[in-house]
Amino acid sequence: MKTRLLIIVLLVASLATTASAQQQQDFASRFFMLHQDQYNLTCKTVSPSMMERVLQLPACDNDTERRQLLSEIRTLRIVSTPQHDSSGPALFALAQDLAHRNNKRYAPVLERQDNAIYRRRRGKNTLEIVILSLKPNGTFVLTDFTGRLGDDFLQRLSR
Amino acid sequence: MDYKYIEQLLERYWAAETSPEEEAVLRAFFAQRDLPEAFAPYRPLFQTMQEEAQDHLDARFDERIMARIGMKDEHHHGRRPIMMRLRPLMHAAAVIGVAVTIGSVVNHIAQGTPEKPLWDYNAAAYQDTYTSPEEAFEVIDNVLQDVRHTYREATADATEADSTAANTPADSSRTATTDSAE
Repeated sequence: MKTRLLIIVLLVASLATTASAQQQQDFASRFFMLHQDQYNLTCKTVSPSMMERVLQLPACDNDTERRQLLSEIRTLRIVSTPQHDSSGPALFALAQDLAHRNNKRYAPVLERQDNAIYRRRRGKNTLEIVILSLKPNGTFVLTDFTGRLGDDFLQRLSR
Repeated sequence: MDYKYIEQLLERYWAAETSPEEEAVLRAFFAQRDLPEAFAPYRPLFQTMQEEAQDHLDARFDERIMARIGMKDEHHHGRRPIMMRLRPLMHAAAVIGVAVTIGSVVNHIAQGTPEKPLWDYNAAAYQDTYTSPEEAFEVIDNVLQDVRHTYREATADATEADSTAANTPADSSRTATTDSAE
């Protein structure tokens, strides 16, 4: 009886450890997972290994500023609707709602009627930047960068 | 034939000084068919002892006793339950588990709390859409340009709204920018 109890305790402890060690899901994959069934969404992904291969391209060698920006990005996801899809405004609102519901994780950098930017930080480091856009043709685009992004990543990007 | 040894054994037997081995010798001696006459009177005694020594429980004794007390004799009939058979294994697993837990706790205390990796996403969850880095580069470049355009436009609008708001405090702008994402 004691042995059984001990085994159960150990099992629960190991499960708890596993659960705590679980890795995070990015905003884009979460949003895509939630809404892909109801809406006509596509998700395009660039993985960490592909980013490493991109950095080895000669095109990156010529532009040090661009190379620096790219080296900070580890993954990219683009979730979008087809052009002239009528669901764009609804999806924009849903994405904003998801960000607001997770406001401890995603802090707003900028919120406008047709654009919004959210940032996930840990300490002084930015881990994820989410950009929501509603294009004039009604297309909804969610762009999600993860990586070890500099605090001024967006400012440097906009130069 | 000299039976002095037997006589000595007998004397010691009467004095209750014989060992079990010596008594076995006496029993063997008195069991023989051609016994000297001098020893004949003692034969019945040692024969009885021989018979008693040969007495043992029959093969079904355990079974009958277990049946009487209402328990199954598991040695002879049926296998032990699996939990009983696995008990040593469970004990071993529990001991190993405790040792590993104690070891990891000690290690954890000795090394301090390990720093969480900064990038805490699961790399395996990212399945590439593009097969070549050139294709991926083109997409990334387009996205960066798009984000640059969006950010510039938004910040320009925000600056404009801020200056308008500063000039006319009652005017409420629907544009909001924050950079306090701590």
